[in-house]
Amino acid sequence: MNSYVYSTNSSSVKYKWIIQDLILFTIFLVPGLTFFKTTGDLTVYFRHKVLDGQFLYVVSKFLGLYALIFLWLQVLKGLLGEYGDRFLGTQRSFTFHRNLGLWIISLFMSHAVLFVWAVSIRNNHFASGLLIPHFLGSYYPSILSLGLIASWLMILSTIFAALRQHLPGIWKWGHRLSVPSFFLVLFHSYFTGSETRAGAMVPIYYWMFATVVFAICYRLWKTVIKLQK
Amino acid sequence: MIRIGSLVACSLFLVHLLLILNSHMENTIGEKDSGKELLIPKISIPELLTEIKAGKKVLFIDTREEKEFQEEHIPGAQNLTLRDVNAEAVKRFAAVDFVIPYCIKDFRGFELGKLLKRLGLENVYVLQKPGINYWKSQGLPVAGERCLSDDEALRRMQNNLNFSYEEGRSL
Repeated sequence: MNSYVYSTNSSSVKYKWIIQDLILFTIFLVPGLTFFKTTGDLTVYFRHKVLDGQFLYVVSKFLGLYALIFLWLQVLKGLLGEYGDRFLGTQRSFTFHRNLGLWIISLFMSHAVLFVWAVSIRNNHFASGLLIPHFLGSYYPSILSLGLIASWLMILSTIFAALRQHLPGIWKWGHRLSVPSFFLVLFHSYFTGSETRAGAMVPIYYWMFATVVFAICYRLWKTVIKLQK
Repeated sequence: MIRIGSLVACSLFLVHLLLILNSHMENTIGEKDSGKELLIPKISIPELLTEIKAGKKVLFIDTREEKEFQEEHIPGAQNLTLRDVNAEAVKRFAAVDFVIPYCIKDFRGFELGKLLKRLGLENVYVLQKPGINYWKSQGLPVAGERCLSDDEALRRMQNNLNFSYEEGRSL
């Protein structure tokens, strides 16, 4: 995963990168393992009769889990700049950032579409209520609304990036909507997901939260230093 | 870049197509003609109430988050989320005649029921018309912060439906 492991002769630096690779590996592995621990054999959805829309719901859940991990990677990478790429072992290129962004938005939209679709099939009518935020009602609709608003921010962030040549100066601020979007997604996922508060998942959520907060502080500090010069 | 983007978009489009096909088949074939066995048997509310009247032990498991459970739940239900299922719970539930996991629309309820079955529990059922929303739509009482106390909800069940729901609550 990390090319730096092979590009250095120093054993301490090598171990540092191996530890970072292990952290990343764990962050990608644990959600999958937790998901399959609770969901089990996916072929049962095809071998047996299940409730309408159940398989769509399960796929939606899986995509949602990984969409968050990839978004975390992208946000951290963007906030930490070159240091982030070294830490994450990712390419420092616009193409990579754009491809990853495209992948993330596809995952999020698939997650949302499949969930609305699953509920619509179960209800026998289009679940239009899921497309309207509800914060004054009960717990579940409020938490779902966080995800809904996050998806709007993410779409806006993507639009601003696509229009960067037409909106010089402004687009960067619009593109930064991905940061609040990350926090909304994190809270939506943590407070509504069946697996997200299971055992090993909890430290991963805390880790993602802490690293992005650290990255924001780092970015602000860097900006202040730059302004002082 | 365009090639990778197209590849991602095409693969996701294909996944969606497969899922459309799957859900279309689910809807058109229907339960009776599909030839597939129900993974978790369904039971209607009237059937369930008859069983309770007959003295069978019924346990409702609310599979939602604790906050949702506190807001409202089927009277006498126990709160257990998917992540908290363990062998001990299965052992406890084995003594009941009907274990009914539920949530809002039974997405989570079904997953928990499936997990319980995987862990060896045979007495798991889902409601014919899924979820607490349907339960409420039938005018059946719910307990919680936003509505009645557990005791009051159980009392109304007993009074209105003329059966001893308490028996079913014996766990």
